[in-house]
Amino acid sequence: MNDRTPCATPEALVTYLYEECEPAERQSIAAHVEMCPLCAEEVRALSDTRAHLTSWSPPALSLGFQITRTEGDQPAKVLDFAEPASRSSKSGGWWRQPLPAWAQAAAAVVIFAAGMSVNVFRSGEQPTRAVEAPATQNVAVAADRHTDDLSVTREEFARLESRLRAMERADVSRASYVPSTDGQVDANELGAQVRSLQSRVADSERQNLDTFAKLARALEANRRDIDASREATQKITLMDEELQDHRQVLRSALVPGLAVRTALTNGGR
Amino acid sequence: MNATAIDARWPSYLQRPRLVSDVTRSDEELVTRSRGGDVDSFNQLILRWERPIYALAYRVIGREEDARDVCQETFLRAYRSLGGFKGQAKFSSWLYRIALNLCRDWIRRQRRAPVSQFPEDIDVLEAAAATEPTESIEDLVARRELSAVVEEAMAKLPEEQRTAIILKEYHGMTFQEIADLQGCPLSTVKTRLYQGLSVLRRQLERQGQMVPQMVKRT
Repeated sequence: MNDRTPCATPEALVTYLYEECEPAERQSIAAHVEMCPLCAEEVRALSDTRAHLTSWSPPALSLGFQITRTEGDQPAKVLDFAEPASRSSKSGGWWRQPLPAWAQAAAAVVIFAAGMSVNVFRSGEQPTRAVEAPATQNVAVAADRHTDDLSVTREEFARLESRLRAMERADVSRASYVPSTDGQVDANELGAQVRSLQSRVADSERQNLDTFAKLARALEANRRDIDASREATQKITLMDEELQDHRQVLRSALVPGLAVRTALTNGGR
Repeated sequence: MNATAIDARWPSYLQRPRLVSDVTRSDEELVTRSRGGDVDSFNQLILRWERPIYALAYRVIGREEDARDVCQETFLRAYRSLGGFKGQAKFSSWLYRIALNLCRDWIRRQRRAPVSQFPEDIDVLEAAAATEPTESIEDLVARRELSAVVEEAMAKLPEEQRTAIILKEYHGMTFQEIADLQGCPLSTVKTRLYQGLSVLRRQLERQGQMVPQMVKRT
């Protein structure tokens, strides 16, 4: 204990230790600690203990929590791991939300049918050529069409619209479609083409995904190989160090024995 | 092919969410947005606070998986109670309070001292590979041993002392913040810290990690 001032209380020492006291109080405690070996030792020991605490870290664990919504705008019910980011973007507005599969398929059918029909109207008697024809020809056909009677075009488009709506409502193959009098478009054929196209797109998507998955697996395998190699190298290094140690021990044990033997040999001579 | 089917074929590390941290917004701003129904903003808060909350839970209850569950439950409860958060305290303090309550519930359920779960079967070489290359295996082993000793000593402390030390040492809270969280006077926090550190010191001395104190205060 200091001769002049009483020892700091534990609370004061803790306050001093964590530097959470007023400057005047800190100065006072510091002055006392300088003079008092007991308090100085206490502060040192507490500081050492604190230093030891830094070595304790929680094990690394994969977290990645994310709130996900269950349906539409219902409140979140689950807190899940590793959900794709796209699922959490539902709050942005309907145009940012992914469409359901059936809606995407319907939209694809409508767009494709519209494209086909427009080409049919524009190219007159040879609808299939219109698709394959170079762009310049299409432009020429479109230019010609501009000069035609507009009322006919409206009628055609009205008919097309009703057909498209029918196709949208029902499955393309089962749509109650009456072939047009000009016989330019066959709904079954159109449906078959759409299905074929969808199938090709799906195949292509599947192939791409397979390729990516294979690549990812290969990367994972490579990573494992590298880890194994690194582990083996480290083990070898450890063994090598151990061997060196053994050598050292043997050498230190052998050298005196050799010296004695040499001395004996020399003495014998 | 739906998304789940695709994801299942990928290695686990590629299935991690790729949420980019938004450092430009404050907690309060993100809370306001979250209360307005913006889930992404709340996920930003999770991204920002999941590590500290997990670390707190792990150090208080001492079990990896249970700490993870507590962490998850903390955010879920916070999300569900966002309407009740008036913003009088900091969001992080509110989150810590939820987590500590959950830890206390967990400890009550267990009805026994938290068990330190130092991974004994951990491969030191593997751990070495995960650390920075400058750290030698000897250093790593020594650090892990010390970490285990500290963890064990902390587990033996009474819950209030352990929590006070954890909040102070690992979360940098002020005495007042700890007092608010623990619901006790400021002087009690200081006493808990002092007593906790003193017990820890004795434990470490016994384990040979610290030189015993030669002079004792009266």
